[in-house]
Amino acid sequence: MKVGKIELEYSSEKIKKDLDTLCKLAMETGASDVRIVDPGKEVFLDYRAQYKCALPKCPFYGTNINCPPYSLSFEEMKRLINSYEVALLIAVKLSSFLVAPESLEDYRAWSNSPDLIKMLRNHFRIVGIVESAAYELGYYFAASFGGGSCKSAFCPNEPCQALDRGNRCRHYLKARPSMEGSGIDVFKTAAHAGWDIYPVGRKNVAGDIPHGLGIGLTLLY
Amino acid sequence: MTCKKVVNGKSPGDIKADLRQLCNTAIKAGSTCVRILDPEMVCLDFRARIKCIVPKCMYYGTNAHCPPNAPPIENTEKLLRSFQSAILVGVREDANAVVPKSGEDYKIWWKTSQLQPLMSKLNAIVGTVESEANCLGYYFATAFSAGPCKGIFCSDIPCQALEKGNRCRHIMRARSCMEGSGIDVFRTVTGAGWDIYPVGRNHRAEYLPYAFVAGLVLVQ
Repeated sequence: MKVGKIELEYSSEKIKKDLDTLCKLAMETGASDVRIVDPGKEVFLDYRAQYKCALPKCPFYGTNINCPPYSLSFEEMKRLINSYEVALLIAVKLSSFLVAPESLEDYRAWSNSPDLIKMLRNHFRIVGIVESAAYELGYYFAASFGGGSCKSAFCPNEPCQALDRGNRCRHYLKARPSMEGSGIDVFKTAAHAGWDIYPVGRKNVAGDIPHGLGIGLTLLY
Repeated sequence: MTCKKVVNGKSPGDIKADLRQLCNTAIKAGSTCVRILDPEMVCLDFRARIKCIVPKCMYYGTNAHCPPNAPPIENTEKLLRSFQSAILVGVREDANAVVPKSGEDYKIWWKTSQLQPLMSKLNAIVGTVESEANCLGYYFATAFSAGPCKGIFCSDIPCQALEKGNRCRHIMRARSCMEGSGIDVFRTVTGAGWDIYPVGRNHRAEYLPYAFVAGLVLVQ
């Protein structure tokens, strides 16, 4: 692949072609739908989103470098979202059996299932591939956010190493912050994009919803 | 070299001569291209710093010069505004030395890569220019390098400066990088009229004309 030099401004033809390439790549990698959005207008930030990590405490709150209170603050996120003109919203349709147990008696087995970890990692993988490809096309500030805590996907049974002073993340360049932990109202953002998304609670079983939906975001330029 | 005595209000002619001398020093020290810049041409971007964080760079939090231990971007902005002249230094390198070729295994290539020597060379160049600027009377001269100091100096050992009360093992040599300080290096270099390429994990040497790294010395 020929590497293009960095330009101060890119032509609208190049941008159009690149967006097409990135959307196709997301679909090939496992996304079920992609939307090109204006992050300032179509990615909704809500102060309450980060509060839902803290009140009540999520099991991953404070356990890793990518979750609150260590993740980007709401103000930083606001500044960040408004620094970009174009972003890709990436949806991954999931079997309802991946986001809820078949019956409530199965809850423990379901929550420890390797398929759950595989699904979470896959989500991080897709947004990571899109981010890398965007960088290589010249959008060097491309930054992707996943869904769910990186700890649940990469280090469920070991302490986050990046929280030790001077130590690095075990999964640098792969583990990344989640949209919700960064203050994004994921439900509203997905619904605005025209996708069906359901709030799955502790008392829900797979039969209560038609499907699950994982959402990722790649801020492009 | 002899030290010039400090003079308040140097003439524009003397400053110009000094900046030219510093450019020559950068070339002699090994840089390929040099530009005298108004620090206003150095582009700051909040997103540069965010790229240390989303996703985490392998050096994030591992040393005293990288985020979150680096000074906030607002400090870089204040610093840039305090200077009237800067020198941008570029080093071009054969892509084959610092980027893998097609078919090469990335992990094997990494062990023999000349990337760290290139970063080390740039770090030495900006350090030399900064020292000479000091001797010429620009005692606030401040240099920024490229890439984390940990990769150059302490790749296999923990950063000692992160221990309370302990000093950096490479005082006066290890310094902050432009990108970690919030500078948009790609835009600054392109604005200076030089070609620079984003080198990603999937890029291979034969598709790149050369590799390029840049450093900055705020002089006066």
